[in-house]
Amino acid sequence: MQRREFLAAGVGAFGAAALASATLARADTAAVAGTGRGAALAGPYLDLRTGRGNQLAFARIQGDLDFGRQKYGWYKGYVTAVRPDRKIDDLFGFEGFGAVKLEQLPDGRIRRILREVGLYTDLKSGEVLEEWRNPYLGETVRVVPVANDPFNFLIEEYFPEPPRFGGQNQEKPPRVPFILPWQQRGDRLDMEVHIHLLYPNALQPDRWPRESSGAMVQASEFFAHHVRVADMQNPKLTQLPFHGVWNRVTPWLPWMLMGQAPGHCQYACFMGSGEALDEVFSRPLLDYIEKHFPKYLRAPDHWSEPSLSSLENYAREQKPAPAR
Amino acid sequence: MMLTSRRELLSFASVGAASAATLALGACATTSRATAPAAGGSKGGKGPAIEGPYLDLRTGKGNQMAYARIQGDTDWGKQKYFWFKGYVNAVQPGKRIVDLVGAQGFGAIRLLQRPDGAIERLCREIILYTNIRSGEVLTEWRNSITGETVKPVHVDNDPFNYLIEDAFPLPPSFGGLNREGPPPKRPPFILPWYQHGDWLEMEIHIHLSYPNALQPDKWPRESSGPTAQVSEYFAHHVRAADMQNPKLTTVDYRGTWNRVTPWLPWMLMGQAPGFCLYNCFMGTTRNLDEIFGRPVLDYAEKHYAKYFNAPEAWSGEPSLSSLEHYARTQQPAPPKAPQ
Repeated sequence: MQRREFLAAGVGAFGAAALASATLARADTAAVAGTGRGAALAGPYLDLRTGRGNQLAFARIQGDLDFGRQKYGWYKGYVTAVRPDRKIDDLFGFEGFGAVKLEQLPDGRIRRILREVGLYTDLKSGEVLEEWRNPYLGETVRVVPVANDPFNFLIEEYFPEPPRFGGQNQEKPPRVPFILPWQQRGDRLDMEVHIHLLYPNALQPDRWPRESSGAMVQASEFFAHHVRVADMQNPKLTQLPFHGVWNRVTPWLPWMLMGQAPGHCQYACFMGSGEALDEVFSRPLLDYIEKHFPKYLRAPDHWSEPSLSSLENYAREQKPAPAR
Repeated sequence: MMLTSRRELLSFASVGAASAATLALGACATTSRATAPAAGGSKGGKGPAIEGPYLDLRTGKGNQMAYARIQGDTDWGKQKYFWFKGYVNAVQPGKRIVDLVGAQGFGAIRLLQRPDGAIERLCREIILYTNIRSGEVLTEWRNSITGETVKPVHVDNDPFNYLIEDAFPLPPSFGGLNREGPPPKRPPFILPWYQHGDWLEMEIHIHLSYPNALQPDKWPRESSGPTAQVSEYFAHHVRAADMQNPKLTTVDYRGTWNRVTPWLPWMLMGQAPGFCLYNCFMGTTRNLDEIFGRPVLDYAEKHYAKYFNAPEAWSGEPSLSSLEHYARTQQPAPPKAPQ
């Protein structure tokens, strides 16, 4: 998933100019998402103007500093189709979660160890889609859910070096201190990070004529977080509850079989952490996951490699659809 | 278009009222249970805060009061600010998305109740485009895609008023350009609330496609083409305890506003493929100093002083889309000088 690429490589690690500039600036100067300022950025527990402070803050958002203790992060929303000069269409729902645990390395770096599952759902009934009628093709296609095991990355005092995405992404920007664009507004902190990517598609049109959106992948991810100031600066909270929005611009999903048709998908999802799964998801959805993806209810026990993008996973696990 | 589709949404041309299929779907969904799936969400999310004890968010009346309290203050006549702050992207086919400019703005809202129970939402608001690094308000902008320096046209809408009722209103006419027919009847005003732990979350969005008020023959450099493709997305997070606290006449929200819109006319992109995507935080505040840097507030105080106060009374002014507004207040740019 791009999402993971983002979380991993993430934020500003790539050449995305805006992100790089934002993160290279001080957290209390204007950043791409606005003006970072406020007393809560300076402490008393975490100094969000420093790489170390942000490492711990982000680790508490992503996981639990009580190392080895599992945490869930969830998302829930829908996917739209964006076609040139057409009204945007809602396609289907998308909901899922990741189970994560953190592990500290002797040098202070933090391993984020995760697996995650995301299911596409019927917009009206909320039921998990196993097949979907593509209205643009008039064709019923088989839905391929997201099941990423593992997706691991390191949380450090610096933005990580970009993952290689199975060798597809060749960019090598310099390392920059891991300073996120926090903005205090009263008793809350907001933080948005995004990344814009363009890289060769793991699904090339010659071999995957129906699944491939084209030779290059245009992908952007946007994460908007809301955190309570009191929680951020409370050292007793080894993990931070948060809510927010995750948006994503991504090529047509391979299983939609849109081929190289103009347009793309845009995701709009709530995301959060801190609730039990049954406080967020319906019983039928959780039943489906327990039946088909039981291992995704638990984080991996150990670090392993590699972590692949979902297009890479698709290329490895699926077969090209026959010609129409 | 600038703000307007946003207003179109807020004015609930939006949710369920327009004939947009997805919106209609939303209306169907929301006319069922609030915990049922809607166009703006998927299944699940449950909890007592949707049912009461103060407001029943499964009813039109409950949502009317809920929405009035997040938009304004039901201590009638008392003003409330909302704000948004983020940035605008360029989305071009086959290219990496690019951050273009910052977008920061606010509005002042006052609510008045009519004898029949309808609630007047009185609002004026501005959007200022800012330098994405410095946060300074832009008076000119170098368009990195065309290599040309252009003059940003900020947005000021005075007024933008609409009614908050217990049923979705009929869509506004948008200067006569939106020809989608009204729905056969007004569906109850039921928004897609979900309870996730201590939070209530509600997303509404609208997808529009309509004839552009800036047609390419007259506005070759400003017009994105004959049709405007516009979508807006509002994601709200509200504390469940606040929503169900009858002592609160106003309820704070926080959230995200996203918008897909044609190239802004002043960018002078002409009919180049692609569009703008907005990503903004939004919320409410009692103190704009908590939200904005001094440069933005100084600029607003100097150039848009009246926007710090909501209108006092309902006005019959038409609600135009920002493209309409642009067509009425601006002139077509001269052809680009040859290189």
